[in-house]
Amino acid sequence: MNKKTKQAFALAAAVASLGASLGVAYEDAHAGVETAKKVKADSVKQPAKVKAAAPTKVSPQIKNPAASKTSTQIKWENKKK
Amino acid sequence: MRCLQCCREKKIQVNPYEIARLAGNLGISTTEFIARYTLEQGAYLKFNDNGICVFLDHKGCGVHKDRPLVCRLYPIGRQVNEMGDEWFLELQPEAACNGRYGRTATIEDFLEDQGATAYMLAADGYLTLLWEMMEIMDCMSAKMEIRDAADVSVEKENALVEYAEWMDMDAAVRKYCQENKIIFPDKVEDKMHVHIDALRLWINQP
Repeated sequence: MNKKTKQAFALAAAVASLGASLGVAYEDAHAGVETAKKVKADSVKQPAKVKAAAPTKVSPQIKNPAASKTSTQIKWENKKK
Repeated sequence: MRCLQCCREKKIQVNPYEIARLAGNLGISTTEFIARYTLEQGAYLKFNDNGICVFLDHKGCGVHKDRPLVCRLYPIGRQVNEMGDEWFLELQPEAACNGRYGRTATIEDFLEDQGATAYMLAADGYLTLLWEMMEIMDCMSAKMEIRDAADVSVEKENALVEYAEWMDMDAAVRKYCQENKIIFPDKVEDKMHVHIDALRLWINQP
């Protein structure tokens, strides 16, 4: 077996799994973040009522890890199908 | 009164560091933990037939001391992009939630109270590696030849065996320590650093 090919498949699987575990490649997200308030990290020292900005739309529907390199670390909704 | 709504109908993501913490809490290896308590090859915690986290019992969280980052963060969330920019999100509360958002404390205080710092550092360490993996994968994909589908399927299956070992911290670190004749570390943080080193070496091997 071609070592490079094997490595490529292993890498793809690892990216999918590690990405999911870090909230990068979640394909069917239903988290309650659509109306979440986004707070820039440099304001974490201020009281919440001061730093809470106007509600910002946050799309949790990251379909392709290569397309959107952002990790979302939240409890995802696990809606019954 | 606790409603524990946030432990129901949730997908709780767990990275290799979090798995190692949870496995340590239960006194088992990460290999055993992944097999018994996770879904999708270690990406999420299992839940029971009622959609409740596998670690929730009548007393509450059975692994609270070593609970994952998203459980520590809730009801906020965290986003980090490839440049290392970081945001915090205020999530919508559950319909039957008994909790209330505090408005006087800071997020920094909240993170400290929840012991989230070590978990965020761990997530960032694995994220850096993930971005590297994705870049390498992009380069490899561009170079790969299109071949017979059956042949590809067999190779894929064999590759999955190898990858499962990559993501299993105890298995990967043990192999790396044996190959490099170094002592298997005891502390989870030390093991994590060796794990990331091992993964980085493997993804960059010629």
